[in-house]
Amino acid sequence: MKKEYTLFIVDDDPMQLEMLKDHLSKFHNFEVKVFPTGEECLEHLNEKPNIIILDFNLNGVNKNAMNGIEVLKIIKKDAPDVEVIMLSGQEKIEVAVNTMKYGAFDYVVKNESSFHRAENALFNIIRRFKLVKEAKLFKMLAVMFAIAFVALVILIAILYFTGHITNNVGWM
Amino acid sequence: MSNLTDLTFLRGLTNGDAAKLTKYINMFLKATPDMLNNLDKYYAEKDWESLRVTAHSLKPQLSYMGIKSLEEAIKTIEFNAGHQMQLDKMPEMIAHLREQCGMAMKELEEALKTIS
Repeated sequence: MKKEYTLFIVDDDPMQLEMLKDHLSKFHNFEVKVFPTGEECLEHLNEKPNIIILDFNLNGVNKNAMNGIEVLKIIKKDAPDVEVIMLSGQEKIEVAVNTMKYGAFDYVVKNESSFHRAENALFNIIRRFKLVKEAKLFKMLAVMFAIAFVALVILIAILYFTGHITNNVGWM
Repeated sequence: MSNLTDLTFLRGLTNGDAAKLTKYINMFLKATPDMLNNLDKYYAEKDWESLRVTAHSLKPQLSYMGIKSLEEAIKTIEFNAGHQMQLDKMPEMIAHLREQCGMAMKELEEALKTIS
């Protein structure tokens, strides 16, 4: 059965990647895919992930690999609807602010609480997705109602001018 | 002598799942010697950025294994490498980290025998 959301996790630290994958795979509506580099994640963007958890430092293993901010910028340019949660061992507020500036939804510091914080961020994003979906639905319903109302007015006008209905009230 | 490692966090995260706990400990035991060697290598090469990134990567792993006593040491190595400060003290700090990690890994190897 197809899962409701596709989640990518990108980290060059195999242990972090595995732990996060195991933890978030518990939630049955997520299909989780993992990538050790930003480059590999970008190659799979055509699979239309809904959410990406992206490590800030992706060049720990390969010094020439793209870093998290570079990958974030490309994601937000090529797939602006994808929400990104940045993950980093950096506790500096300016690093977090910088990632938000480039469009990250949230910033999670890698420590013992990062698994629950990532989980909370995921559910906040899903809540947002649902609100956006509901807003779209209400907008569509409003448009349909307006169209139906205009059609009804036109129909009444046609019936009136063709003599099928008059001003006379039948029972008077 | 008190333990260097504390698996409380991992046990909680895995809900006591022995297979996952064993997997994470084994991943730590496999990755850490290389990371420690890299710290020495990058110091010898004066590659401060790579030294900082390696310390940065090791930091959460030590935390997950509950090695609290090395928290400050690894942060200091990362900070000093990033700011190129007190580099003369770096070999001593890396040696301390290596020694403590060696002891922690022995503890973890012992812990693996009891996890089932």
